[in-house]
Amino acid sequence: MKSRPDLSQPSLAIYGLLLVFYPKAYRLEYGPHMVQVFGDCLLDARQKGTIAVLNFWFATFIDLIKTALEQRVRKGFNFNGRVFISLSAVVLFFAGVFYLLTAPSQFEEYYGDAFGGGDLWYEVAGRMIIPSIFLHCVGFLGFALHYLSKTNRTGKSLLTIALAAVWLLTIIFLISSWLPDRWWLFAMLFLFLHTFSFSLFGILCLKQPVLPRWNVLPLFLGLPFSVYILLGLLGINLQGAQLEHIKRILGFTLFALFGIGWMVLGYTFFKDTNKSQNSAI
Amino acid sequence: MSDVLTPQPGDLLPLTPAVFHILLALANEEKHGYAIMKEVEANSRGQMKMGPGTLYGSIKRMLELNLIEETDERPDPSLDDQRRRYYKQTSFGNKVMKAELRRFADLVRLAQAKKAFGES
Repeated sequence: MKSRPDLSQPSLAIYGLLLVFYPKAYRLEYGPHMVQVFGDCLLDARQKGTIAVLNFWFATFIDLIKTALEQRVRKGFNFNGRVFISLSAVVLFFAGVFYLLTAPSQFEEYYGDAFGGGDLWYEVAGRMIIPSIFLHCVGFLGFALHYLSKTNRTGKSLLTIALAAVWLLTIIFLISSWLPDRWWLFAMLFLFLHTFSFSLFGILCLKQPVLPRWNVLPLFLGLPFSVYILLGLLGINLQGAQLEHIKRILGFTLFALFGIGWMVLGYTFFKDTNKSQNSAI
Repeated sequence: MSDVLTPQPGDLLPLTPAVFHILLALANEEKHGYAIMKEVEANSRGQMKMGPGTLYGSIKRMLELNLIEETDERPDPSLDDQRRRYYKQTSFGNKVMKAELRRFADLVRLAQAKKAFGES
Protein backbone atom coordinates (compact mmCIF):
# COMPACT_ATOMS: atom_id res chain seq x y z
CA MET A 1 0.00 0.00 0.00
CA LYS A 2 1.36 3.40 -0.96
CA SER A 3 1.87 6.03 1.67
CA ARG A 4 0.95 9.45 0.36
CA PRO A 5 3.14 12.46 1.02
CA ASP A 6 2.18 14.38 4.10
CA LEU A 7 -0.36 17.02 3.13
CA SER A 8 -0.16 20.56 4.22
CA GLN A 9 -1.91 20.22 7.56
CA PRO A 10 -2.77 23.92 7.83
CA SER A 11 -4.77 23.67 4.59
CA LEU A 12 -6.73 20.70 5.88
CA ALA A 13 -7.26 22.44 9.21
CA ILE A 14 -8.53 25.61 7.52
CA TYR A 15 -10.92 23.65 5.35
CA GLY A 16 -12.11 21.70 8.39
CA LEU A 17 -12.81 25.00 10.16
CA LEU A 18 -14.78 26.29 7.18
CA LEU A 19 -17.15 23.34 7.48
CA VAL A 20 -18.70 25.17 10.43
CA PHE A 21 -20.96 26.84 7.84
CA TYR A 22 -22.74 23.52 7.29
CA PRO A 23 -25.49 22.27 9.61
CA LYS A 24 -24.09 20.30 12.54
CA ALA A 25 -25.66 16.93 11.66
CA TYR A 26 -24.41 17.17 8.09
CA ARG A 27 -20.96 18.18 9.29
CA LEU A 28 -20.73 15.21 11.65
CA GLU A 29 -21.83 12.78 8.97
CA TYR A 30 -19.92 14.01 5.95
CA GLY A 31 -17.30 16.39 7.32
CA PRO A 32 -14.44 13.88 7.65
CA HIS A 33 -15.08 12.57 4.15
CA MET A 34 -15.20 16.08 2.71
CA VAL A 35 -11.86 16.90 4.32
CA GLN A 36 -10.46 13.66 2.95
CA VAL A 37 -11.60 14.42 -0.60
CA PHE A 38 -10.40 18.01 -0.24
CA GLY A 39 -6.97 16.69 0.69
CA ASP A 40 -6.93 14.36 -2.33
CA CYS A 41 -7.83 17.20 -4.68
CA LEU A 42 -5.31 19.54 -3.06
CA LEU A 43 -2.57 16.98 -3.69
CA ASP A 44 -3.59 16.84 -7.35
CA ALA A 45 -3.54 20.62 -7.62
CA ARG A 46 -0.13 20.89 -5.96
CA GLN A 47 1.33 18.64 -8.63
CA LYS A 48 0.15 21.11 -11.26
CA GLY A 49 1.64 24.20 -9.65
CA THR A 50 0.82 27.32 -7.66
CA ILE A 51 -1.83 28.71 -9.97
CA ALA A 52 -3.68 25.39 -9.92
CA VAL A 53 -3.64 25.47 -6.11
CA LEU A 54 -5.02 29.02 -6.03
CA ASN A 55 -7.72 28.17 -8.55
CA PHE A 56 -8.61 25.10 -6.52
CA TRP A 57 -8.91 27.10 -3.29
CA PHE A 58 -11.08 29.71 -5.02
CA ALA A 59 -13.37 27.06 -6.54
CA THR A 60 -13.60 25.23 -3.21
CA PHE A 61 -14.53 28.41 -1.39
CA ILE A 62 -17.35 29.15 -3.86
CA ASP A 63 -18.51 25.51 -3.70
CA LEU A 64 -18.55 25.67 0.09
CA ILE A 65 -20.59 28.86 0.32
CA LYS A 66 -23.13 27.63 -2.25
CA THR A 67 -23.62 24.16 -0.82
CA ALA A 68 -23.58 25.27 2.82
CA LEU A 69 -26.45 27.63 2.04
CA GLU A 70 -28.30 24.83 0.24
CA GLN A 71 -27.93 22.50 3.19
CA ARG A 72 -29.06 25.18 5.62
CA VAL A 73 -32.12 25.98 3.52
CA ARG A 74 -32.96 22.27 3.20
CA LYS A 75 -32.68 21.85 6.94
CA GLY A 76 -35.01 24.81 7.44
CA PHE A 77 -32.55 27.46 8.25
CA ASN A 78 -33.87 29.54 11.10
CA PHE A 79 -31.78 32.57 10.76
CA ASN A 80 -31.60 34.08 14.14
CA GLY A 81 -29.27 36.55 15.73
CA ARG A 82 -27.36 33.92 17.68
CA VAL A 83 -26.45 31.91 14.63
CA PHE A 84 -25.37 35.02 12.75
CA ILE A 85 -23.26 36.29 15.63
CA SER A 86 -21.58 32.92 16.05
CA LEU A 87 -20.82 32.71 12.34
CA SER A 88 -19.63 36.31 12.23
CA ALA A 89 -16.86 35.41 14.69
CA VAL A 90 -15.59 32.87 12.17
CA VAL A 91 -15.96 35.43 9.40
CA LEU A 92 -13.86 37.94 11.38
CA PHE A 93 -11.17 35.32 11.86
CA PHE A 94 -10.95 34.79 8.12
CA ALA A 95 -10.94 38.53 7.50
CA GLY A 96 -7.75 38.49 9.57
CA VAL A 97 -6.36 35.66 7.46
CA PHE A 98 -6.92 37.64 4.28
CA TYR A 99 -5.44 40.82 5.78
CA LEU A 100 -2.36 38.80 6.65
CA LEU A 101 -2.17 37.49 3.09
CA THR A 102 -2.43 41.07 1.80
CA ALA A 103 0.69 42.18 3.69
CA PRO A 104 3.26 41.17 1.00
CA SER A 105 1.58 43.49 -1.51
CA GLN A 106 3.22 46.41 0.33
CA PHE A 107 6.48 45.48 -1.38
CA GLU A 108 5.14 45.56 -4.91
CA GLU A 109 6.80 48.05 -7.28
CA TYR A 110 9.64 48.43 -4.86
CA TYR A 111 11.49 45.28 -4.10
CA GLY A 112 10.41 43.66 -7.32
CA ASP A 113 10.67 40.07 -6.27
CA ALA A 114 11.48 40.10 -2.56
CA PHE A 115 9.59 36.91 -1.83
CA GLY A 116 10.29 35.01 -5.01
CA GLY A 117 7.60 33.75 -7.35
CA GLY A 118 7.50 36.82 -9.53
CA ASP A 119 4.60 39.18 -9.93
CA LEU A 120 2.07 36.49 -9.10
CA TRP A 121 2.61 36.87 -5.33
CA TYR A 122 1.99 40.59 -5.36
CA GLU A 123 -1.00 40.30 -7.64
CA VAL A 124 -2.56 37.66 -5.42
CA ALA A 125 -1.63 39.51 -2.22
CA GLY A 126 -3.10 42.74 -3.55
CA ARG A 127 -6.36 41.01 -4.43
CA MET A 128 -6.69 39.59 -0.93
CA ILE A 129 -7.81 43.05 0.20
CA ILE A 130 -11.15 42.50 -1.53
CA PRO A 131 -12.40 39.53 0.51
CA SER A 132 -10.72 40.90 3.62
CA ILE A 133 -12.74 44.14 3.60
CA PHE A 134 -15.97 42.34 2.79
CA LEU A 135 -15.46 39.72 5.52
CA HIS A 136 -14.40 42.43 7.96
CA CYS A 137 -17.59 44.37 7.30
CA VAL A 138 -19.87 41.35 7.81
CA GLY A 139 -17.96 40.01 10.80
CA PHE A 140 -17.83 43.40 12.50
CA LEU A 141 -21.60 43.63 12.28
CA GLY A 142 -21.92 40.52 14.41
CA PHE A 143 -19.20 41.74 16.76
CA ALA A 144 -20.95 45.07 17.27
CA LEU A 145 -24.34 43.43 17.77
CA HIS A 146 -22.91 41.11 20.41
CA TYR A 147 -20.97 43.69 22.40
CA LEU A 148 -23.36 46.62 22.13
CA SER A 149 -25.32 45.22 25.04
CA LYS A 150 -22.17 44.67 27.12
CA THR A 151 -20.79 48.19 27.06
CA ASN A 152 -21.90 51.60 28.29
CA ARG A 153 -23.39 54.45 26.26
CA THR A 154 -20.02 55.74 25.09
CA GLY A 155 -19.01 52.28 24.01
CA LYS A 156 -22.29 51.84 22.15
CA SER A 157 -21.71 55.13 20.29
CA LEU A 158 -18.14 54.22 19.37
CA LEU A 159 -19.10 50.75 18.15
CA THR A 160 -21.95 52.19 16.11
CA ILE A 161 -19.67 54.77 14.49
CA ALA A 162 -17.06 52.10 13.75
CA LEU A 163 -19.73 49.83 12.27
CA ALA A 164 -21.26 52.56 10.08
CA ALA A 165 -17.82 53.62 8.87
CA VAL A 166 -16.72 50.12 7.83
CA TRP A 167 -19.99 49.52 5.99
CA LEU A 168 -19.71 52.83 4.14
CA LEU A 169 -16.11 51.99 3.30
CA THR A 170 -17.17 48.59 1.94
CA ILE A 171 -19.95 50.08 -0.16
CA ILE A 172 -17.54 52.58 -1.70
CA PHE A 173 -15.07 49.77 -2.32
CA LEU A 174 -17.70 47.64 -4.03
CA ILE A 175 -18.89 50.41 -6.35
CA SER A 176 -15.51 52.12 -6.78
CA SER A 177 -15.23 51.23 -10.46
CA TRP A 178 -18.26 53.46 -11.13
CA LEU A 179 -17.01 56.34 -9.01
CA PRO A 180 -14.51 59.08 -9.80
CA ASP A 181 -11.06 58.69 -8.25
CA ARG A 182 -11.64 61.29 -5.56
CA TRP A 183 -14.09 58.91 -3.85
CA TRP A 184 -11.03 57.04 -2.61
CA LEU A 185 -10.49 59.94 -0.27
CA PHE A 186 -13.86 59.21 1.31
CA ALA A 187 -12.97 55.52 1.55
CA MET A 188 -9.78 56.41 3.43
CA LEU A 189 -11.73 58.81 5.66
CA PHE A 190 -14.20 56.06 6.56
CA LEU A 191 -11.36 53.64 7.18
CA PHE A 192 -9.74 56.17 9.49
CA LEU A 193 -13.06 56.76 11.26
CA HIS A 194 -13.55 53.01 11.73
CA THR A 195 -10.08 52.34 13.12
CA PHE A 196 -9.99 55.48 15.23
CA SER A 197 -13.38 54.92 16.87
CA PHE A 198 -12.44 51.28 17.43
CA SER A 199 -9.23 52.37 19.13
CA LEU A 200 -11.24 54.71 21.39
CA PHE A 201 -13.50 51.76 22.15
CA GLY A 202 -10.29 49.92 22.98
CA ILE A 203 -9.32 52.55 25.55
CA LEU A 204 -12.77 52.12 27.08
CA CYS A 205 -12.26 48.34 27.18
CA LEU A 206 -9.09 48.79 29.21
CA LYS A 207 -11.04 50.68 31.85
CA GLN A 208 -14.21 48.59 31.70
CA PRO A 209 -13.44 45.17 30.18
CA VAL A 210 -15.93 44.02 27.60
CA LEU A 211 -14.13 41.11 25.97
CA PRO A 212 -13.57 37.93 28.00
CA ARG A 213 -9.81 38.41 27.55
CA TRP A 214 -7.23 40.54 25.70
CA ASN A 215 -9.20 43.75 26.06
CA VAL A 216 -6.17 45.54 24.65
CA LEU A 217 -6.98 44.13 21.21
CA PRO A 218 -9.32 46.87 19.95
CA LEU A 219 -6.73 49.51 20.84
CA PHE A 220 -3.97 47.45 19.26
CA LEU A 221 -6.03 46.98 16.11
CA GLY A 222 -7.32 50.51 15.84
CA LEU A 223 -4.59 52.92 16.87
CA PRO A 224 -1.56 52.07 14.69
CA PHE A 225 -3.65 51.74 11.58
CA SER A 226 -5.57 54.96 12.21
CA VAL A 227 -2.29 56.85 12.65
CA TYR A 228 -0.92 55.32 9.44
CA ILE A 229 -4.03 56.32 7.49
CA LEU A 230 -4.07 59.80 9.03
CA LEU A 231 -0.50 60.39 7.91
CA GLY A 232 -1.51 59.37 4.41
CA LEU A 233 -4.59 61.59 4.45
CA LEU A 234 -2.52 64.57 5.62
CA GLY A 235 -0.18 63.96 2.72
CA ILE A 236 2.78 63.21 4.92
CA ASN A 237 4.97 61.06 2.73
CA LEU A 238 8.30 59.60 3.63
CA GLN A 239 10.75 60.83 0.99
CA GLY A 240 14.03 59.31 0.09
CA ALA A 241 15.08 55.77 -0.64
CA GLN A 242 15.88 54.88 2.95
CA LEU A 243 12.55 56.25 4.21
CA GLU A 244 10.71 54.53 1.36
CA HIS A 245 12.24 51.31 2.60
CA ILE A 246 10.98 52.03 6.13
CA LYS A 247 7.55 52.89 4.76
CA ARG A 248 7.28 49.54 3.00
CA ILE A 249 8.40 47.64 6.07
CA LEU A 250 5.95 49.60 8.18
CA GLY A 251 3.07 48.94 5.82
CA PHE A 252 3.88 45.24 5.69
CA THR A 253 4.16 45.02 9.48
CA LEU A 254 0.92 46.91 10.02
CA PHE A 255 -1.06 44.71 7.65
CA ALA A 256 0.46 41.57 9.08
CA LEU A 257 -0.23 42.58 12.69
CA PHE A 258 -3.69 43.82 11.68
CA GLY A 259 -4.41 40.42 10.20
CA ILE A 260 -3.09 38.50 13.18
CA GLY A 261 -4.98 40.82 15.53
CA TRP A 262 -8.31 40.21 13.79
CA MET A 263 -7.68 36.48 13.80
CA VAL A 264 -7.11 36.57 17.56
CA LEU A 265 -10.13 38.80 18.09
CA GLY A 266 -12.28 36.54 15.91
CA TYR A 267 -11.16 33.53 17.92
CA THR A 268 -11.81 35.29 21.24
CA PHE A 269 -15.21 36.43 20.01
CA PHE A 270 -16.06 32.87 18.88
CA LYS A 271 -15.19 31.43 22.28
CA ASP A 272 -17.25 34.13 23.93
CA THR A 273 -20.33 33.43 21.79
CA ASN A 274 -20.09 29.70 22.48
CA LYS A 275 -19.78 30.37 26.19
CA SER A 276 -22.85 32.62 26.03
CA GLN A 277 -24.86 29.94 24.22
CA ASN A 278 -23.81 27.20 26.62
CA SER A 279 -24.67 29.24 29.69
CA ALA A 280 -28.09 29.99 28.23
CA ILE A 281 -29.03 26.28 28.13
CA MET B 1 -51.53 2.01 -1.76
CA SER B 2 -47.80 1.35 -1.59
CA ASP B 3 -47.54 1.70 -5.39
CA VAL B 4 -48.98 5.20 -5.15
CA LEU B 5 -46.47 6.20 -2.49
CA THR B 6 -43.44 4.50 -4.02
CA PRO B 7 -41.68 6.90 -6.38
CA GLN B 8 -41.28 5.76 -9.96
CA PRO B 9 -38.07 6.38 -11.93
CA GLY B 10 -39.82 8.91 -14.14
CA ASP B 11 -40.90 10.93 -11.10
CA LEU B 12 -37.31 11.97 -10.50
CA LEU B 13 -36.55 13.14 -14.01
CA PRO B 14 -34.90 15.27 -15.16
CA LEU B 15 -31.92 14.62 -12.94
CA THR B 16 -29.49 17.35 -12.06
CA PRO B 17 -26.17 17.02 -13.92
CA ALA B 18 -24.34 16.16 -10.69
CA VAL B 19 -26.76 13.36 -9.77
CA PHE B 20 -26.75 11.94 -13.27
CA HIS B 21 -22.98 11.91 -13.53
CA ILE B 22 -22.61 10.28 -10.12
CA LEU B 23 -25.05 7.55 -11.14
CA LEU B 24 -23.12 7.06 -14.36
CA ALA B 25 -19.84 6.85 -12.47
CA LEU B 26 -21.32 4.10 -10.29
CA ALA B 27 -22.82 2.19 -13.23
CA ASN B 28 -20.24 -0.62 -13.26
CA GLU B 29 -18.71 -0.77 -9.81
CA GLU B 30 -18.77 0.77 -6.36
CA LYS B 31 -16.52 3.73 -5.75
CA HIS B 32 -15.53 6.12 -2.97
CA GLY B 33 -16.07 9.86 -3.11
CA TYR B 34 -12.77 10.90 -4.63
CA ALA B 35 -12.95 8.20 -7.31
CA ILE B 36 -16.49 9.32 -8.17
CA MET B 37 -15.26 12.88 -8.50
CA LYS B 38 -12.39 11.89 -10.80
CA GLU B 39 -14.59 9.69 -12.96
CA VAL B 40 -17.18 12.44 -13.34
CA GLU B 41 -14.46 14.84 -14.42
CA ALA B 42 -13.07 12.32 -16.90
CA ASN B 43 -16.50 11.38 -18.31
CA SER B 44 -17.41 15.04 -18.83
CA ARG B 45 -13.97 15.81 -20.31
CA GLY B 46 -13.21 18.29 -17.58
CA GLN B 47 -16.46 20.22 -17.93
CA MET B 48 -17.95 18.94 -14.71
CA LYS B 49 -15.69 19.53 -11.72
CA MET B 50 -17.42 19.00 -8.41
CA GLY B 51 -16.15 20.32 -5.14
CA PRO B 52 -16.48 18.28 -1.94
CA GLY B 53 -19.60 20.27 -1.03
CA THR B 54 -21.41 19.50 -4.28
CA LEU B 55 -20.28 15.87 -4.22
CA TYR B 56 -21.48 15.06 -0.72
CA GLY B 57 -24.57 17.25 -0.99
CA SER B 58 -25.57 15.18 -4.02
CA ILE B 59 -24.61 11.91 -2.32
CA LYS B 60 -26.76 12.79 0.68
CA ARG B 61 -29.77 13.50 -1.52
CA MET B 62 -29.20 10.33 -3.56
CA LEU B 63 -29.06 8.25 -0.38
CA GLU B 64 -32.34 9.79 0.74
CA LEU B 65 -33.92 8.98 -2.64
CA ASN B 66 -32.53 5.43 -2.57
CA LEU B 67 -30.58 5.96 -5.76
CA ILE B 68 -27.33 4.81 -4.16
CA GLU B 69 -26.31 3.04 -0.98
CA GLU B 70 -23.21 2.82 1.15
CA THR B 71 -21.35 -0.45 1.02
CA ASP B 72 -18.43 -0.29 3.40
CA GLU B 73 -15.41 1.67 4.47
CA ARG B 74 -12.03 0.43 3.43
CA PRO B 75 -8.74 1.82 2.12
CA ASP B 76 -8.12 2.26 -1.57
CA PRO B 77 -4.88 0.44 -2.36
CA SER B 78 -4.07 2.83 -5.20
CA LEU B 79 -4.15 5.85 -2.90
CA ASP B 80 -3.22 5.44 0.72
CA ASP B 81 -4.21 3.60 3.85
CA GLN B 82 -7.01 5.94 4.83
CA ARG B 83 -10.41 4.28 5.13
CA ARG B 84 -12.86 5.57 2.54
CA ARG B 85 -16.62 5.20 2.31
CA TYR B 86 -17.75 3.34 -0.82
CA TYR B 87 -21.06 3.76 -2.63
CA LYS B 88 -22.90 1.75 -5.24
CA GLN B 89 -26.09 2.10 -7.27
CA THR B 90 -29.28 0.56 -5.95
CA SER B 91 -31.55 -1.27 -8.36
CA PHE B 92 -33.87 1.74 -8.22
CA GLY B 93 -30.96 4.05 -8.98
CA ASN B 94 -30.10 1.90 -11.97
CA LYS B 95 -33.66 2.19 -13.26
CA VAL B 96 -33.59 5.97 -12.83
CA MET B 97 -30.27 6.22 -14.67
CA LYS B 98 -31.66 4.16 -17.57
CA ALA B 99 -34.81 6.27 -17.66
CA GLU B 100 -32.69 9.41 -17.92
CA LEU B 101 -30.53 7.87 -20.64
CA ARG B 102 -33.66 6.98 -22.61
CA ARG B 103 -34.81 10.58 -22.22
CA PHE B 104 -31.48 11.82 -23.60
CA ALA B 105 -31.68 9.32 -26.47
CA ASP B 106 -35.18 10.56 -27.33
CA LEU B 107 -33.90 14.13 -27.35
CA VAL B 108 -31.03 13.24 -29.66
CA ARG B 109 -33.42 11.43 -32.03
CA LEU B 110 -35.68 14.46 -32.04
CA ALA B 111 -32.73 16.79 -32.73
CA GLN B 112 -31.57 14.52 -35.57
CA ALA B 113 -35.06 14.51 -37.07
CA LYS B 114 -35.07 18.28 -36.99
CA LYS B 115 -31.56 18.31 -38.45
CA ALA B 116 -30.50 20.38 -35.46
CA PHE B 117 -26.97 19.02 -35.80
CA GLY B 118 -26.67 20.77 -39.13
CA GLU B 119 -26.79 17.73 -41.43
CA SER B 120 -28.03 18.29 -44.95
